[in-house]
Amino acid sequence: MSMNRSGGPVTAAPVGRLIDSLARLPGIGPKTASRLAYYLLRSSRDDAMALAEAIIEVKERIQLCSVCFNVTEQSPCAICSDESRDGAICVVQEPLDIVALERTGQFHGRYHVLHGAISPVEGVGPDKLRIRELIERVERTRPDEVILAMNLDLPGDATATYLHRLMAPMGIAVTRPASGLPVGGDLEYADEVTLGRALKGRRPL
Amino acid sequence: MHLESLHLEEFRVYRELDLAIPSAGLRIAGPNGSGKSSIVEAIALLSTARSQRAGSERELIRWGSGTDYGVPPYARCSGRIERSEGGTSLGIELEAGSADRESDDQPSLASGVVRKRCLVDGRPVRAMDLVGRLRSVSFSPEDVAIVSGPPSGRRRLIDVAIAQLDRRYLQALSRYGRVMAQRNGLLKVFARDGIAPSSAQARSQLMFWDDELIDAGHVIVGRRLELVAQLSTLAAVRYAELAGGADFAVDYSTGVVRDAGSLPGTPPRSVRPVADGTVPDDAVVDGTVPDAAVPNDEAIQTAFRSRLAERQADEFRRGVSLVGPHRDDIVLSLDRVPLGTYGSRGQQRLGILALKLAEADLMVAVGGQPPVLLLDDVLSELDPERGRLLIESIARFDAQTIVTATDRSALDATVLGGLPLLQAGAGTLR
Ligand SMILES: [Zn+2]
Repeated sequence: MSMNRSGGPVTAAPVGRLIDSLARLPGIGPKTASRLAYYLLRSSRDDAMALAEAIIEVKERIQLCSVCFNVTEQSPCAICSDESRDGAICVVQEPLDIVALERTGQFHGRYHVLHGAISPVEGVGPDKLRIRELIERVERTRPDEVILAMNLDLPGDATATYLHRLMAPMGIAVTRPASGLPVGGDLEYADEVTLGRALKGRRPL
Repeated sequence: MHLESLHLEEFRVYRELDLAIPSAGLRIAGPNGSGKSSIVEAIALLSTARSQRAGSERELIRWGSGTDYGVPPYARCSGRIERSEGGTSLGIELEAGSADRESDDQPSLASGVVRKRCLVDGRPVRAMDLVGRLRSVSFSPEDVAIVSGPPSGRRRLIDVAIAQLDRRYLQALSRYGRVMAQRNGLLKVFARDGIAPSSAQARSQLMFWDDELIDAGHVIVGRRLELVAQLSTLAAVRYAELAGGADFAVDYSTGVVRDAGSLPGTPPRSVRPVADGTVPDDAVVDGTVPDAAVPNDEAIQTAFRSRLAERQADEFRRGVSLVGPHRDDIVLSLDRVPLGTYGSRGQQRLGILALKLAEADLMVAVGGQPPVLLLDDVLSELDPERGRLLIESIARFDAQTIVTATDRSALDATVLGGLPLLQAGAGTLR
């Protein structure tokens, strides 16, 4: 017997569409998608509507900050608008990295989100990242320091090296968090004590 | 160092197997397909974290594995090793991806992909933290194809041997592979878009990958130059033992370093084969092997960089890395004539046996202890006299030896005839 992903003729079409949509999310296969779909089917109308509205709200109200490219409800974002922040810029790969760095309480400057790292294998070159915007911002605002908080893997290293070469002639202090972070690990998974220590012990490149 | 016990689950023909292994070793008899080879295959996997034949990891998983529990097909093998510092358990788990049987924990697992997990004392570790704990050298009739086959097979043979002796080597190999994939990705884009090597874009983007390629690659080239020179000295003695006084040699042919002997460096430590049952105190002595000096790190890096510059235009045109240890070869020769092209089948067979014995010699010389020796049906392709000579050479290592044969009486008359004998068949050993 042949069956499609959503269970074939035994599944009502709207349920099938929900399963297919859920199965497209990262980390969710067809089996989990079916389980979630039937859970939603059984859950109260209020709960289901709250989820649907949250998804719509994210898509309609969240945008990228025009300065740092973090996700935000209003642009510039709260961090970029905060006058008490000092004159350093911490460059990160993903918005989630900011959450991890803020938790350490060791950094009081502003951020810049690249939305990825250089990885030719995945077709990600410098032009696919917010690198041009970073260089323009650094030239314009002359920060006291630029911290390159990339992941400690090959794409992270490649990105940090590339950025350092671009900024070296500009006379800006460029640093990278100290080693001690798990090699090959993502910044967002590092615990806050380790991350805080690495940030405090940052070294000039 | 020896393996005390082996546990298999869903591995080849075995649903479940617990095997106690005496420190001297075992003989396993059985017809083809009875599962006798799976035992040596499992031990080699625990030792090297790689299956002996490229691309066959899926085949290690028993057909039908996982169906009883509705989980993806899997195989496990684990073993307990005893060494002077105390016991350790090693494990390898394989899990196959499957289109119709999904694993929610590993949703990225696509059909046909095998996920491998290495364990030491039950804790997940990287392959390089497992390899080297149970050193082994395996002998199989199929090895002869390595001599005349593609260079990748010979590089693999040498890589597996060096990795067991040098953690840093395995680390460099793994990093080199990842760097090369990234560098090739970039060169492919340059080739597609017709970007010139001299453009600022090409230079700024390639520089990092060139530096990384040289950084990881020079470690591989340096270790291969050194250890292949040592293996050659040892293998020449072994070949003469098996076949009489021809001049057998193993050479590392690299496009990275030209004329290695003329570069600044140090002579490799000279080594000699195991002559009797004991590990000689002077197994490693300082000495010089005049025409096999190993260039130092800096000399290899400099040479690597010049070769990259020379081939840059070609690399940009073809969109692929053309210089480095991934393009190198290991050449077996007899009286300076390459065996791969000109040797008889018999000479090729003796050549690979000599090289394997030399690997075991090197592990004694550098690692201080004999490796576990795995002999899978090796007598089937040798004439009785060579077979006797091989078995005697093997026995002199005084190593744990696991030997399989189709005919259970094949080993009775040899010096390994005293090893306990098990019969393999229908997924059991008794
Ligand atoms: Zn912002």
